Amino acid sequence: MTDVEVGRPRPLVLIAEDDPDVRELIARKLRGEGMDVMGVGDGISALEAARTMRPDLVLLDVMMPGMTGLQICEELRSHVATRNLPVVLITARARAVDIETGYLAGADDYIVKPFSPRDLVARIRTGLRAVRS
Amino acid sequence: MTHWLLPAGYLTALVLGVLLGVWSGRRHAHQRHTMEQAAEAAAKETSRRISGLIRTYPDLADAFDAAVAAVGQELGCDLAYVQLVRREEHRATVWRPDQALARVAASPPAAFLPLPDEIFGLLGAEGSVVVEDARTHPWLKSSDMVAALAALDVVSLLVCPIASPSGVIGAVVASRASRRPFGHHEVDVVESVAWSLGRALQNRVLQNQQNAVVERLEALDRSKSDFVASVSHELRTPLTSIAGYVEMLLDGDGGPVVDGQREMLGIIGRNTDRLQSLIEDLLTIGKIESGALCAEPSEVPVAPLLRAVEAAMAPAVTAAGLRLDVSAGEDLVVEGDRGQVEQVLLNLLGNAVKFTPPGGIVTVVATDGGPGRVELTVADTGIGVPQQEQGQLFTRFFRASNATQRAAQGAGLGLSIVESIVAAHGGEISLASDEGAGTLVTVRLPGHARVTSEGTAAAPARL
Repeated sequence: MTDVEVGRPRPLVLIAEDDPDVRELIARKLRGEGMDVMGVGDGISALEAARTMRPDLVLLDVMMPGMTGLQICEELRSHVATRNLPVVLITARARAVDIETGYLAGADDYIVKPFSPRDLVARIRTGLRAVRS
Repeated sequence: MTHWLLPAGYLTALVLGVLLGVWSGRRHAHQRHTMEQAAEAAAKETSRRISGLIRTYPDLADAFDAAVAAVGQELGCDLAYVQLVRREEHRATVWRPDQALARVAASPPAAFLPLPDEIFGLLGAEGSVVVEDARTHPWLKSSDMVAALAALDVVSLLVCPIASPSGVIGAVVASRASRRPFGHHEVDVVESVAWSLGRALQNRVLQNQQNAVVERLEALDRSKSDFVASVSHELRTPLTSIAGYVEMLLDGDGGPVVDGQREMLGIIGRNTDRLQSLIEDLLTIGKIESGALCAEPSEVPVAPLLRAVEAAMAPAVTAAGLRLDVSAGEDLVVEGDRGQVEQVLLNLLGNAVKFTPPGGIVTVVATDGGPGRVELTVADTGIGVPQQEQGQLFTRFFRASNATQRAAQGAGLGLSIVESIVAAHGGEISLASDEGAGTLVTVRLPGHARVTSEGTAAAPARL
């Protein structure tokens, strides 16, 4: 899979998730699907990586030390360089109000734990397609 | 004629005079009685009005101000005040004709205005004191008191205690600079004002206690909700790794899987699902216990909801070799939380599918349940519930003996959740079952049938 428009042979996905096993699970699955991944375990590193690494999509866990996924999302949306970066929130909170809060913070998609890795890949592909078109 | 007419006329006049005199005496007595009644009625009316006034002020100090001003004006006083004696501080509001109300406070309450504390020692727990002339009354012996009263120009004095369960906590004081004594109707008025103020104070104390309890409960509720949210996070995160890796292994992401391994992974996967639904049930129960159920009631159209539930159950129904019949009036609406009503149906259908042998039929019907009610029934042709166990079915973790014998999976939480949700919605649930023949669960929830364009409610339609 090549992606000439973003100048990379493979899309780069930033995974911000404080649980190392879940982070590794997602990383394995996405690598297997032909994507490059970068993993971070806290909110501050996530924001920094999102700005410096210029990923094609960010997966953000909502509950993380440092900064919550929602705060990072709002921060990304408030800067020109990262305004259009696709963001998928991952959360263990499944209440309707949590999901609404996620979308209000500017997330493009919202996935609830425990999720199916297959389903996650489908949503990431949708997110990547949306920004290209 | 005139000779004896005169005495006759005199006699007549005398008799008439006597009669008149008797009559007029009676009339005077009657008038006095009427005036007494009128004065009593007026006093009651005044008491009622001032008590009503006290109740209109949410702030206690304002209520005291209003009460003392009303007493001063209505009773033609030269001085009126309400005085509260508290351990830490004494307070009073003083009224004088044509002067602004003065609030005074003293802390520590050493030499307190307007009257020394001594006056409270002279009051009984209930009794009021009426003094016709404070300058000569033997009751007021203390020089402090006499001096204080003289300074305030008090001659005629009325003191009514404000009582609380702990004793006298204050007084309403009315006085005049002349010897016009306070009559018993006036005493009645001031006593009733003192009683109303005492009650207002007690209500405030109770209200403060209640507020403290409510605040504590709210804090407890918040910590409980936070706990549920944390537990939810802590349990779902490890499940993500387990369920995720099982799926990846089954998908061959970790390399080829042989049949025996596939079977084992399938068992891990199924039990992960089971654990997940148990966690969801426990979280729902957590929500029920914290009273957070039915937070977002709305109008839920029944037919689309049943279609969604039918679609969600279709794989399980097929796997169990059953037929599922669903019918609902297109116009039925339940008033409640969509997610929770859906959970009621999913739990009931889950049970029906689990406990009905292959070839059986599960039927879901939604009908107009009469005024303000929608009736949902879930019927199956399954194993049923033994008669003697039917009463316990809604108890948490209770499982019917014929369910455990069949080694059917479940924690015994489903029906307890259903019952809690139905109760939180103000609905009713009942269960009828014949062992070996089937079970019928009837749920009645607040709702109605939307009237169609023809003006009649539509009949249930097969979905």
